[in-house]
Amino acid sequence: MKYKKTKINILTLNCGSSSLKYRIIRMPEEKCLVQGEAERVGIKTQGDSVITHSVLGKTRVIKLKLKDHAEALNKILSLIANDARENKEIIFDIFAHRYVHPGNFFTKPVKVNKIVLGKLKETLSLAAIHNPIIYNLIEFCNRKYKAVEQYVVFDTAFHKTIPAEFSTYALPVKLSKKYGLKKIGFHGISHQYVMEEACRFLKRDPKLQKVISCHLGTGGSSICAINRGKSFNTSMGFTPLEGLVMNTRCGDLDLGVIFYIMFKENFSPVEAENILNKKSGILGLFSSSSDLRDVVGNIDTDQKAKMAFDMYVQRVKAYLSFYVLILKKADILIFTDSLGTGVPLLRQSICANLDFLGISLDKDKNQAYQDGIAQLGSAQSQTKILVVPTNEELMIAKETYKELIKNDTRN
Amino acid sequence: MILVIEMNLKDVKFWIYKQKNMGLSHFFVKDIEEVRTSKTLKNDILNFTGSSKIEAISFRILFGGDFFDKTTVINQQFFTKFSKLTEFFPFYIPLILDMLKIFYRDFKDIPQIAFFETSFFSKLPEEEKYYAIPQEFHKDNKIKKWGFHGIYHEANSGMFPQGRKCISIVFDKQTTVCAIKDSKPLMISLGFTPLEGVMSRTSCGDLDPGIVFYLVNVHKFSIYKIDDILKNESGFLGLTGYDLELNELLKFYGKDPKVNVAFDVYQAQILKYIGEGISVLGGLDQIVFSGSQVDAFNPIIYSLIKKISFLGINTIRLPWANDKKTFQITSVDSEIKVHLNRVNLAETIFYGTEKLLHKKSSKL
Repeated sequence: MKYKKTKINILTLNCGSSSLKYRIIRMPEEKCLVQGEAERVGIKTQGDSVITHSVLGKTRVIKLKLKDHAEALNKILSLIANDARENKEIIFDIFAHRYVHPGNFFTKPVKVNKIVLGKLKETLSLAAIHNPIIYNLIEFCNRKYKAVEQYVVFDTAFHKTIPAEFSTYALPVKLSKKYGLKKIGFHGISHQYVMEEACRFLKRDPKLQKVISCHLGTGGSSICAINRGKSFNTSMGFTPLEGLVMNTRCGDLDLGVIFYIMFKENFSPVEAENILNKKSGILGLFSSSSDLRDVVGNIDTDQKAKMAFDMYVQRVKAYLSFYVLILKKADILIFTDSLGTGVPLLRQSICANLDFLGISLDKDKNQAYQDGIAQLGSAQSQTKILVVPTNEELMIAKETYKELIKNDTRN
Repeated sequence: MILVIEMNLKDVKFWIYKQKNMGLSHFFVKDIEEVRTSKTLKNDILNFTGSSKIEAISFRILFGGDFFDKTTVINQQFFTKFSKLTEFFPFYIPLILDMLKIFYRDFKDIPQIAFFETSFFSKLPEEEKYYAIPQEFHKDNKIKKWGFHGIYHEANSGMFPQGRKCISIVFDKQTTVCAIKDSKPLMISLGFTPLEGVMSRTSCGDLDPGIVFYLVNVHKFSIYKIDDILKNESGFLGLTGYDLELNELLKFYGKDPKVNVAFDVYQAQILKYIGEGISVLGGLDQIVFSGSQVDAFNPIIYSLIKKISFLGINTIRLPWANDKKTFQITSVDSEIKVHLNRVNLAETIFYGTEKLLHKKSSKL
């Protein structure tokens, strides 16, 4: 009964390829005590790395050099330790990490121990950019903070309910079994969070709703069909390369193109992967930036910008319409993450001409949107259209807390 | 009398049609080497046609690249352009070129016409034609969507007046889905190569490209091995383990769990493109199913339509009549109409040829 009746502070760690977002959240009241982000970690840029650090609303910006995520975390922990000397309230009790791709090993949050670490180690190659970064942080915390428990929440866990007809690739069964090849899906923490928030906002029971969530970020993007609270289909696949057009990722692609650039243009597999992961998508089409917001700024004057925008939008519309078909109409459509919340033209273009499927956006409301949760559907829209800012850190804390309570009761 | 010819790497198929809807009069297949080396090709064919005059010879050609954006009359110029497509299909194009030259030599006075499976898609919108890969790969138009089954899809969309929002689905060796409005394709499932789109008997259809790199870079598969697996060991064969034609396999649907999964995945892939089609059309008025497997696939068509009936589709129960070439399988009150077009490919080319000949003679 360690946690059940007491408050607990969870330090959530959410790694991107070059960023580290963190929060100390007090559960169960969901109060955010500390929040911050280290940016430009471990990448070669002209500027220094930056940590933006807020304690109970007071913000500091620190410029420094951070060669990797472990160094960033070390710095963040010393900032927190300093603050904690003045304010005991923010001392954290537990680490909670977001882990991107656990393969088929884990489908729910786990407490880190030796066995878990061993299994995670086997998954490093599944998400060659993200997994090793997070794994190193977990090991780092294990070494330096032996007494502090660590939990891991998986970005894929939400999608374990996707039925076979949507998760199966038409590959030889033996091959799929041997290597675990099936749709795993990502951004699960975010999709689940915005779905629950949308239902709370509309005072509806998630178990009775059919929801489509569009997580459109400046890095990765994915879309998810959620049937009665459970993930039903999602655009990313076994890896985060499948699906929508992304900042530097191609998304769906004729596999023949891969063979063509290797056989005819003599790229090695590593080079070809690099092209499709890091030089394609918005960057490949627009060439001067990988950020869709820059594309939008040039859309009227630059043919390449128009092409990149149209392709990005059309891919979202295609999945959105497909998901309306398999859900047999959607009750709620959600836009989230930086592009989903920050680019009105994107929402307007995605929803254009979808009245047939019951989706109709109110253009004025869409333009006027500032922040928070808001409803942007027109009066005749059968589907509620919502913008819901995502909060992966809070979801990580909630999922961890749920698991803590369970472990507690088991003890 | 019109002769329709289809050639592949092994054999040549001949269909002989009498005009004015008299239907197929003769059909025969010859080994391609036999045709190529025959000194009596003309006489062999005339044996079948008898004393009737051959008005035209039409060929089905799988690929026309950027040079052939419509059905084209074969002449010397044609051969020059056609030979430039060799880099795309180094086996197919030279062989077909050879054969076409033989017919051109032996039937000098008869109009010869090339129908391409890709021409229809030259009008695809830009954002549908290209992939989200670095621009330099689009230069020289080397990597783009060529599409497939254009002859069927064009004929299917021709069944309706302009302005209708139409999705056309072809069940053949490949399955393709196309969205069409005002005689223009707005979306096609099959892209640069036949690997993209809907799975087939042995190919995987759409797949996470990351899987290729995972197997090659992490598990050290050779890229040639993967290419072979995805083209020849996947699809229905990979999922079921049964090396059967789809119409045979379909007999086990509902009885064998492996076959069930395979057809469920297949239908999900088709639904994805129906969804995409609706999104580019901004709605849906007509769906047409056609292709060589359309009769065998009646249960699949029924199942697909049931899945989207909430859009306002009221289907007639199975079995459907099969005494007409084209008919509607939705009731009169159905908001979206669904049709079967049972006219086969050779016949479609025959009608296309007749139309072209009439146009020509009226011009003269």
